[in-house]
Amino acid sequence: MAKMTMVKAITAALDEELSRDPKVLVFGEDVGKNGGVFRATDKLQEKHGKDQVFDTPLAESGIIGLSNGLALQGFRPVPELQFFGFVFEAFDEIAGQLARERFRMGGSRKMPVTIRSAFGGGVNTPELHSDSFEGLVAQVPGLRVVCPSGPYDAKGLLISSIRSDDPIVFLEHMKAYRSFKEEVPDDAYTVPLDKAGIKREGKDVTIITYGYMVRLALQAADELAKEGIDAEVLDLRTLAPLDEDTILASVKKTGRVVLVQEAQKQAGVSANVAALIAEKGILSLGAPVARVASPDTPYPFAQAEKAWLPNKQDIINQVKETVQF
Amino acid sequence: DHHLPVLAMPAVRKYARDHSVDLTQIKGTGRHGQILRSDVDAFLENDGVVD
Repeated sequence: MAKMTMVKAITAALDEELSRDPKVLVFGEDVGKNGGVFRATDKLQEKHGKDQVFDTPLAESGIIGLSNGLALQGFRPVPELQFFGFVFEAFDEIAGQLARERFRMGGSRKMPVTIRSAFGGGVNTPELHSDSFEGLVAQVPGLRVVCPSGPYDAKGLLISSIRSDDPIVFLEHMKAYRSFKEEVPDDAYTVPLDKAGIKREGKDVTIITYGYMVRLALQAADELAKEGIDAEVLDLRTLAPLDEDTILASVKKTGRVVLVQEAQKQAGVSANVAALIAEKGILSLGAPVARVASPDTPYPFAQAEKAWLPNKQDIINQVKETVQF
Repeated sequence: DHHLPVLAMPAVRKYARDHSVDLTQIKGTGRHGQILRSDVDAFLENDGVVD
């Protein structure tokens, strides 16, 4: 056990899997000698060699096309898209090819690809670096979308993802990379895919969220507790497919739901969760399902982030409104 | 007037249904005039007599 940041936990997971299986390959723009723009692949090339960890030309569609070809040849590619804002360059390779390949081939091949990518706001990035586009990939049948909220989950979920025979988009929130530490076991361990995690037990209201917003929700829950409001915080962890059982059990317990996402209200995955609750949990509802999200505009200029992104107070205000409905 | 729509959240409607309570017989004390679970309880404690 050691206290570590999320980015270090991710490096540890990659290191474990590269050692465990020579078919695991890590590649992308500047992930080799440089060690990645966030140091996520730091020293991995030195340790595992250029045949397992290597740089690619600057072409996202090529990187994912390369992953698809390598997967068809029996490798377990773990490509990196430097920032998820650049996913559009690779969207056909992801949605039109990778996600459909097993289906198209009648299950005669598997596509064990894990696409790692950084996203997320609050760190003053330039344009198209911080956008939350998880909703786009969450709408693609055949893909899993995974988003850890902190170091412990990041290592366990990344190991699970790399070992999965299904294609996975693994989204790493930039603000969560280094802003806090958690105890992380030294050895390999897994956190199950398709399973949400209850990060805080509560009885009055369920806050359903993911990514860096989990941390804000937990801070909001601490403040709400001082006012006698006992909030449960549910971390989706896997955004597609949704863990219906855990979501519905929590809704049944509390009867009140606040969905929190960093993405714009028209984006993200909150609407999917709201629809699920409307379909299968409506008789538990004591208040309308509420959503905290960003405004429906393109991601703002860095100077406007603070005013634009959902914050702790937004969560507190909405939870109070929902509890007092 | 039972032609007026009854305001109650789904959880309260189910609770009332499970206790064979007719929501049109109850005056809601909640915000927006909605019937609360506690209103159903009060109605039941009152043996279903409308005040």
